[in-house]
Amino acid sequence: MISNFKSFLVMLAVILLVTDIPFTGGTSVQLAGVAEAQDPPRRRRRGRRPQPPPPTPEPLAKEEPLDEPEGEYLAIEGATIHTITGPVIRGGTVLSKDGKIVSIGVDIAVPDDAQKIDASGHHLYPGLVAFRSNGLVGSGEAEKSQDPFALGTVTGLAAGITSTWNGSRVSKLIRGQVTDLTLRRQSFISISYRSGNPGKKKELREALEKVQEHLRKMEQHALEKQKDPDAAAPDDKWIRGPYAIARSLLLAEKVAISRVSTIFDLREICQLARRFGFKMIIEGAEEAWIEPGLLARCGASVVLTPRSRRDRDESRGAAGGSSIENARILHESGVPFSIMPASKGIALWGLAGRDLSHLPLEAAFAVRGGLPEDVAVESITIEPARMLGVADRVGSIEVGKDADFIIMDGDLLSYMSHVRWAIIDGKVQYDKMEEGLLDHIRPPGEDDPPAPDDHWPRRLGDPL
Amino acid sequence: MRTITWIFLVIIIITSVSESLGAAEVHAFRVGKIVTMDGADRIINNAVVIVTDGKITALGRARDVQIPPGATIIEKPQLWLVPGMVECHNHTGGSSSDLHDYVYLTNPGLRTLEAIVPDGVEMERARAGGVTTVLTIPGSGNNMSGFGTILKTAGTGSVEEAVLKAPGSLKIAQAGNPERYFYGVGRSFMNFNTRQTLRKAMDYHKARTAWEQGERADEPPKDLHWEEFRALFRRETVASVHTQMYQVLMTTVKMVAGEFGIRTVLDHSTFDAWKVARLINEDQSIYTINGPRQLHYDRTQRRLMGNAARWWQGGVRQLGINTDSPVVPQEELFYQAAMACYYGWTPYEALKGVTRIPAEALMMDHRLGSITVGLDADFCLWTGDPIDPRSSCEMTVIDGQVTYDANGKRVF
Repeated sequence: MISNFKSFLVMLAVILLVTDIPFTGGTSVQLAGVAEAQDPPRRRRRGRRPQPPPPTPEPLAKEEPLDEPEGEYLAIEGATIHTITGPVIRGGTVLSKDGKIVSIGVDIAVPDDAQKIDASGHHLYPGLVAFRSNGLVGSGEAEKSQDPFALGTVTGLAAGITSTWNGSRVSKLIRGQVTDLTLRRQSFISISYRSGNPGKKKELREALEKVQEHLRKMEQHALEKQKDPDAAAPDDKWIRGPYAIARSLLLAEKVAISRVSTIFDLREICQLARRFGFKMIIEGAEEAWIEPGLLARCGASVVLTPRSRRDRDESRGAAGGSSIENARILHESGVPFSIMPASKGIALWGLAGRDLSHLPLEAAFAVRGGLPEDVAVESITIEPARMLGVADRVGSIEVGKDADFIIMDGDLLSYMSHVRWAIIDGKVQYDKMEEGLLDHIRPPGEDDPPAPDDHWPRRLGDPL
Repeated sequence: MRTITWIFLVIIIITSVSESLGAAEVHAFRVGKIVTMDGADRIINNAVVIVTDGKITALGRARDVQIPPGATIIEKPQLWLVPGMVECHNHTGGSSSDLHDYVYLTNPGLRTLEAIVPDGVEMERARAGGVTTVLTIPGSGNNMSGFGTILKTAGTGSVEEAVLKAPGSLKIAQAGNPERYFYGVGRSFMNFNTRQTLRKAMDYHKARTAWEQGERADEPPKDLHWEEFRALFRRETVASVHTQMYQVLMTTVKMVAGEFGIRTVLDHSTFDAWKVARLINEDQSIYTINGPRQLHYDRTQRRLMGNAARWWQGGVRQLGINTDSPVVPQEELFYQAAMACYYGWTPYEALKGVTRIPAEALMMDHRLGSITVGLDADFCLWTGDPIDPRSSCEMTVIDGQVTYDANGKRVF
C-alpha cells in the first residue's frame, strides 16, 4: 500500500515535471505562447524605455582639424579599410580619439602622441556583431553576471566579435571590467506561432485582438474626453502579463522575435504581423526561399544560418527543405538579414567551425549559395547592429562611431585568416601574439614556425 | 499483328547487338585546372581529362591531349577538376539502428553490408559536397561493432553496384565511448575483451589456413563469427580504430598494429593524441585519419591546438581528415579540411588528406583518390579552391557518369 502511494507520488511528480500543468493553484492566466525574451518579469520596467537617438550617418571626413591636443588617440595605419557603409580604402589610416572614430582616410594628420599600430598588409573591418550569443558576455545585469576573466570573452574577440546581444543587454566584449560594457538595454518579445501548437496560436491571436480592441476604445475615449472631461476611461487594469506584452507589440514599443522554419508557418506568422502591424525578427526561416516576397511584404528581418539542414516535408507542397541559396534569394528580395552559426556559443571541446568561433565562415557559406561577398560581410556587422538598435554606435567604420575594429591578417571570409588585433573603444582588447591562444599558428613573418615542444614519449637521450 | 511483332523483335536484336559492338562511351572534360593529387603532385592548368567507360584514359594540357572523335565534350573552362573526396569514417548510408547493432561488447560477425541503402538524401548531399566514396562503418558504442562497407555515393543502382569493397574495414573502438555499454565497462576489461576476441579470430584464421595448406587433415568448421577476419589477418583489409587521447592511441599501436599485425587506420586520433606522433612514425603502414574534432584546447599551455597541424608537426605524413558523419554532415568533409587549415595545417596537404590519403588508407588507391590514368573517373568540378566554403561543387562525376549537376538543382 505504501509502495503504491509512493509510486503514485513519483508518477504525480513526473506528470508535473513533464507536462506544463500549473500546479501552484493561482488564478493568473499564463499565455504559453507569449513570453518576454530573456527578461524576467519582475525586473520589467514600467513605461517606455528611453529610445536611442536615430543613427546619424556622417559624411566620410578626410580631414579633421586637430585643435584639441588632449585626449587619447589611436591611429591604425596602412591597412585595407573595409568601412562597410562606405568605400574600401587601401593603405589608409583610421584615427580614433577617446574611443570614437575622428577621421578616416589616406593622408590624414595624426597627432605625435597617438598610439600607433602598423597594420600594413592587414585588413581592417568593424568589429563583428553576433546577433545573439551565450557565454561571451554576462546575460543579466553586468555587475552581477559578467566574468571579467572569462575565456569566452577572449575566444569571442579572437573570432572578431566585439559586440553581442545576450539576455537583456547588447554588450561589448571588454575584458577585466564589469562596468561600461552595455551598448544598449535590449529585449525582444519572444512569440511562438507554429502549426505544431494551434492552442498557443489561438491564445496569441486572441490576446492581440483583445488589446487591439482596447486600444481603439482608448482612442475613442480620447475624443470623448475633449467634449466631456469627466468621461470614464475604459478599464485597463486587466492589461498585465501577456496582455501588456501584446500592447507593447501593438504600440510598436517592442519587436517580436520568433523561430519559424517551414513556409507554412512563415505564411501564418507574416499574416499575423501584417494584420496587427507589429515588427518582428524571424530566426531560422529555412524555407523562406520558396516565397521570398513574403518576408519582404511583412517587413520582417531574419537571422539566417546558411548551412542549416532541413529535409523537405513530403506531405506538403512540391518545394521544401533548406537551401544554401536562401541568403542570396532573400537578399535579392530586399529582406534584411544577419547571419549566425548553428551554435550560439563558443565550444572548445573540439568540433570546430560550427559556432561563433567561425562566424565569418558561416557567412562564407552564404557566398557559396550566391550571396555577394560584401553583403555577407554586412550580415555579420552593420545588419545585426541595425537589428539590435546599436547601428548608431557600431557595425561600420564611420566618423563619430565607436572605435571598435578588428584587424585581420587576410580577407575576413577566408578560412586561413586570423584576427591579429581586436580593438574596442580605441583600446586593444586582443592581440594574437600577446594572448597566446593562437600565437603558434602562422605567426607574422613565419610560414613554418617551430612546433611547441610537447611531443611524447620522450626517449632516453632526448634533450629535455 | 504477327509481322509487327517480328519487326519489333528484329529492331530489339539489332539495337542490342549494335550497342554491344558499338564504340565505348567517351567523355572529354575540358577544365581550367586539374588538381591531380597523383604521386608527382601535378597541377595542370587549361587541361583535358578523357574518360572511357568510367575510367580515366588520358589527361594533360588541352593542347597536348587529342580528344577522340565522337566523344561527348563537357566544356567547363572556369572550373577546377578535383578527385572525388573519400570519407574514411561514415555512419550514414543505411538506417542508424541497423548499422549500429550493438548486442554484445564485441560483435565480431556483423557487417554493415546487410544494412546498406545506397541512395537517399545523405548520399545526394555527399555528392553535392564533392564526396564520391564513403566507408560506412558501425559506431563506437562497443569495442568491436563489425565490418564496414566501402561504397560510392552515386545513389543509383543496386547495393551490388554501389559497393566497392566489403568488408571494407573492421571497426574497433578502444576507449572513449564503449564505456557507455549498459554495464559500464572500463579500460581493463575492454582491452582484455578486445584482445581475447582478436585472439579467437586469429586462432580460427590459423586453423583454416593450416587446413587449406594441407597441414592438418580435419577441416575446422566454418564460423561466421570469424570468417571475415581472414582478410584482415592477410592484410587485405584494414581496421578502422576509434582511438583518441594519447594513452589509448598507444594501446592501439601496441595491440592492434603490433600484437596482431593488422593494418591500422587511426580514426579520430583527437584530443592530445598527437603527442605520440613518434610512435606512429615507427610503423609506416599506419594511417592517421583525424576527425571529427579538429581542435584541442590544451589547458596546461592555454593554447588552441589544431589536431591535424600538430600531427603534421610531429612528422606524420600519412595524415587525412574525416567527418564521422553524421557528427559533422557528410557534405562538409572539405570544411573539416578548412578547419584543419585555420588551426595551422596547409591547404594542399589538407586537400590530399580528403582525397588520396584516405584512398590509400583504405587500400583503394588503385581505384580512387587521384586523377591518374586507369583509375575510376570519380571527380568533381569546383568553382575554386575546394576547401574554401565560398567555392561550390558544380558537378560530380562517378564512374564517368554525371551524378550531380548544380545547374539543375543546387543541393549544397
